[in-house]
Amino acid sequence: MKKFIASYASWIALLLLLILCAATCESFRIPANYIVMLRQACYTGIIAIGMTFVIGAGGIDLSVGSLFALSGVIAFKLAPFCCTSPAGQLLCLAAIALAAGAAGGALNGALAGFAKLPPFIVTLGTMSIFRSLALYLGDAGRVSLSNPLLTAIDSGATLWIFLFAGAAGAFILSRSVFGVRVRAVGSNEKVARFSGINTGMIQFKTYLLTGMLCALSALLWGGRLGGISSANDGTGYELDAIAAVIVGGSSMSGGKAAVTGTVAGILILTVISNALVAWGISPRLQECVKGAVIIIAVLSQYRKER
Amino acid sequence: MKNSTVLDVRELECAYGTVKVLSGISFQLEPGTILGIAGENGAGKSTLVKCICGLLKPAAGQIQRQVPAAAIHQEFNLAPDLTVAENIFLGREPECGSMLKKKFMAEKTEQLLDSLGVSITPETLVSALTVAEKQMVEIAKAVGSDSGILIMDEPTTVLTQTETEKLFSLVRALTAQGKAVIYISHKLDEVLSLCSRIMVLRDGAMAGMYNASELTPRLLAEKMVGRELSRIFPDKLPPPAGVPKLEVEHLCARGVNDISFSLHAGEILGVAGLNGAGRSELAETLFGLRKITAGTVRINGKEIRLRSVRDALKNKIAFLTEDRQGSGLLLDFPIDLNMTLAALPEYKKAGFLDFKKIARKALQYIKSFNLKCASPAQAVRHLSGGNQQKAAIAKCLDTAPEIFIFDEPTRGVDVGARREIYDFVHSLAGKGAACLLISSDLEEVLGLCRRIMVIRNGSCAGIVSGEELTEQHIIRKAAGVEK
Repeated sequence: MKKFIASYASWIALLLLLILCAATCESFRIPANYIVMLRQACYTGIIAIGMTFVIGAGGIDLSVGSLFALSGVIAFKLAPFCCTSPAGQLLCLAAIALAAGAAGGALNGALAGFAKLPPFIVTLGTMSIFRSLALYLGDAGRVSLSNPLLTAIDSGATLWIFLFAGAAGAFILSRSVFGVRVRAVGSNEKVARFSGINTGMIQFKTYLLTGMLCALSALLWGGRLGGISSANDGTGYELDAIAAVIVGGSSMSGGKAAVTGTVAGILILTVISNALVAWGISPRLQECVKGAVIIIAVLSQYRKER
Repeated sequence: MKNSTVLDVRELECAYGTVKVLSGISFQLEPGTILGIAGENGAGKSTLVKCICGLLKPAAGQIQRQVPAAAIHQEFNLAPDLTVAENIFLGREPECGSMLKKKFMAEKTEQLLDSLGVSITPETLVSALTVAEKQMVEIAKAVGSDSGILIMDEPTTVLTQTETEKLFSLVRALTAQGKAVIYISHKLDEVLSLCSRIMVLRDGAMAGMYNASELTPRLLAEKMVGRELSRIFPDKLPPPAGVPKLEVEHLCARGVNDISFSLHAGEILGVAGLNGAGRSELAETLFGLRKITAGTVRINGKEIRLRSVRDALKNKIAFLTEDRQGSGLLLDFPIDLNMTLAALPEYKKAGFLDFKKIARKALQYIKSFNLKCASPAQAVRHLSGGNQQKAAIAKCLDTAPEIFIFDEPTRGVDVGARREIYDFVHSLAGKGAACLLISSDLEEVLGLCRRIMVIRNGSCAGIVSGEELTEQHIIRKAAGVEK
């Protein structure tokens, strides 16, 4: 029983939170609102899945929000030049976005994984590099694309992609050779190295994966809105994604990580921000509550380990 | 008025969660005496130390301390980025106003280290010290705290004979000044020569309190295990014949300087030498962890590439590290994943891991090694030292090695498990594996090997065999007294 609670703590917390919200707010008793909330959670949620791998391997990625914007801006800017037919253009858009995301992730991964620089510093640096490049390429404004097929990327599809990515990520992290190695590297890099694991390559791959998930998220976001804002989109995503991982019960120092927890974590954060609105609390206090939730999550973990 | 006891422990009980680790411990400690505590790994020695120091809350019973106690714990408690002097005075820094009395600290530190016969400058950073030097700093820190009770938990595991003797004369001098010492070691002859009384712990309970004069090492070992011991070393294997399995020629790497030797299948080649002589460096080089700068390594007569651990594993080399907690095992991972970590791809089914197969394999190892645990899913952290070592060996074995490098396989391991490990090494070689046995315990290499390579300053100081296989001979070679 104790073990059950420990392994599903974040889901139980989510459930209790929902009961509280449903008891106090009218809007939480309307099923359709839950779909709305799920859709809100998708964009940072997809990124948080990758972040779980990065943190699980003992790293951190602060550049996700900027890479989200940059890969979106590059793709939406270049796609019209590549192809004129709507279908071809859509394909180019996806390919360019993913390639840009992969390139950004590979840069983070090469510096943190192979060159062994501290990931916090590396991604702090690339965070401003990516954002600055996005602003430059997007003239600090919106980059739009009119393509009749873009409406295919509605939020319904986004939701399914998020759920699929979550399930796949959960499975890979918990049950694949790569997943176990990711956690082994995060748990003790030296032991992993002595076990014949190419630790640099494992870390590289986690950043690569996260970069591509940033691009996927940007693609879905930009697709729905018909473009990407180089200045505003993706700002603060890094904190939301990291918060989701921590609230989901993964250890900040690596080794212990689960994607299912992260999914619960992002849902908890989304429900809280909606509940604050429903309760009529000033939106300026949103970040304050979010910060408190993160601290409480870490505190409860810390207590458990003592 | 001076009290006749400095420490009075009565009916002490201690538990981790629901598991009782100590029960019914009662004893007194008088000033000016040395009490030895002996017991197998997991008998509760370290737990008792933590209770006495107040780091653990006992579940029942009383501990009355008349004077403060200082302890040298089994694990290092030093801040690596501070200097030796800063570490020794950590928490009780001498201040003048709010400024540190640096000069006073340095002088006092030098004095302390001098009494231990170590020459380290007080301004050295702890991270730059060798393991043995760190241990000496740890000892100096405890001694320098001027506590009435000094507790030493396995202080000599990383020390050489001479360093150990220096430590002993210091301990005797301290007791002459009226300090009380509790001394814990698995080296039974040390306990017997140093201590006046010896308490034996078995499975968390007191198995007896003896005067050192009534015990011999053998008798003490028997009291610890609770049964009569037969000979600890198996019969030596017949000398190997045929072509060598592993040939190393003029091998050079960082810390390894022109080492050549050959190793046959079915042979256990001992590697002896002082601490820091380059034994572990040689092992790490052969396992692909250090860059080879010159020389060749041949297996079955064929030169191999050895640039990474993966190259080593591909060539069927396994390495049991001397630091099982730091580089051998993932302490927070379950036993089964630890055992299979180095050969993980073997456990794939349809692209994903077959956790049932992993658990089954782990159960096999647990059974064949007589590893005591609740289940294969238990975290390694909660195992005793000996059982952790068995898990680490199983992990190496899981890569199906033909060449096996053991680095201090019995460090911090109790008598019972030690015997099992010797039997394992012996049977592994008997089945045709080529084994390299690195050990600071000369008795161990002498008991198991027909040939012993002595390492000094990163080079081979000679390979000893036949009638030359004596403790004296090896020590003199290791120290460079004899060519």
